[in-house]
Amino acid sequence: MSHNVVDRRRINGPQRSVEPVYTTKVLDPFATGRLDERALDQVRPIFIKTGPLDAQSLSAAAPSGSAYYEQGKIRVSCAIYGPRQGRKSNARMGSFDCDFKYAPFSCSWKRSHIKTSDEKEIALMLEHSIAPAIRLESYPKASIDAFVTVIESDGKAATIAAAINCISAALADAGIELYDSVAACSMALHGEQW
Amino acid sequence: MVEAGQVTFAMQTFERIHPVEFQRRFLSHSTRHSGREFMQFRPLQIIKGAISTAQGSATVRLGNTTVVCGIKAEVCEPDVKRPTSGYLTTNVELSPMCSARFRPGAPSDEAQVASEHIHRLSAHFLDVTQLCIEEGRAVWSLSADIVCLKHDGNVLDAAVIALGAALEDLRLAGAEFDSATGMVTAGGEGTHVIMKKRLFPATFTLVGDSYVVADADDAEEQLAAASLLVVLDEDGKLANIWKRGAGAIDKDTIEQCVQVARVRMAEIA
Repeated sequence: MSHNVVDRRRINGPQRSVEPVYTTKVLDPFATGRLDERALDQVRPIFIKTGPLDAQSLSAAAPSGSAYYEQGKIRVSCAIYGPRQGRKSNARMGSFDCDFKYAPFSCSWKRSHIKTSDEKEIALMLEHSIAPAIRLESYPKASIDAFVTVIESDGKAATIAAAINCISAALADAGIELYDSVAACSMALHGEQW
Repeated sequence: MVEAGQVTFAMQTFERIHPVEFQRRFLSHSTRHSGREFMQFRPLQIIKGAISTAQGSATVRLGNTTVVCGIKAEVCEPDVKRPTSGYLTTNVELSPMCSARFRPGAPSDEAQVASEHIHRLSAHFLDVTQLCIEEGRAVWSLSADIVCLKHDGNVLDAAVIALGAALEDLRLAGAEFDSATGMVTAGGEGTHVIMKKRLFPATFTLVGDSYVVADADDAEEQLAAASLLVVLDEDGKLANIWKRGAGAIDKDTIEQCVQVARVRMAEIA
């Protein structure tokens, strides 16, 4: 991708660089069943690890809850801060905000450091999916912030679903009051087949 | 036991209210709040090549501090003045995810300073003339992004180690430049790049007025008067030394730190 923007707060590479044309053969994803030989309704194996690596020595600036989520090749990490002081001091209910970012090396092309509208749209999607599950009325004037970073992505919709699951796990780890945990899965239509 | 007018605190409350005094209680007894020795480093774990979308990657865990370095390789035209040199751009990302100290938005001062210092250090790792595909026409441009996932002090050491490990893991597909179309095609398994020297960092921090501790965690870093980064190359020679902060560190202490850095190098080699 060509970036003509000079980011004054980062080390900039050459003005314009592109991916080389890779000559490795591109496989047809559905030639003989799915590429990784899964059944049509089978999800990739999931691994979730919540909490810090070493709970003994935790810094004061550490998140209230965190989770690291893997699903096949998708890797997502989430940190929850809160409940902490919100922006409105007269709010009856708490507010829940999501921040979503792809790491520059997480997709097959190099992503920009600056947040794109794509990432902002996904952040809004995450907020709308998860906010109904949180008992925000028990946290008046407070805000709960979720920060999600995608370390490796493998399919856009699947990565969004992974992010939702990751945030759910992190909220549980933070001890935030929830009506229920939120689970998500993506589906795709191939021809006539789901 | 408790006299009238004396207030007692639970340990965590005491740490929040009197952080300096809290640390001093431990340091004055020749120990640290985490139980480590003054010159003891946290356990180090390096995992290479876990990220398939990056051409080179490494995850480094230093105690609770976790950083991931991913390298993406693209092609571009070289600088007219340096027709056989490729590019290696390194950036450190300290997002609000890793610590409550960082706000969303543009990179903080700490991130910019870290990026700048590591970018300058990166010239020690790699000779960029081996990134040449076609002299004057096409070269590889490597973007190394070091994303901090958890910040518990001493991100710089972890970042230097992660960058080195990711560069060792990097595989560049065999590239050919077609002068008729101006396109670069690449394919095959790929070859590793040859590193100039492996670098071994060690950070020492001056806390509580006069105690020098190695590999400070976040609680200790917040109270640091000064810090010293010593980077040795694989021959034990000094590749880089950087002292930050207003606190004074004398020459003998610096020599002692370099000695400890040599011991550390033997540990992580």
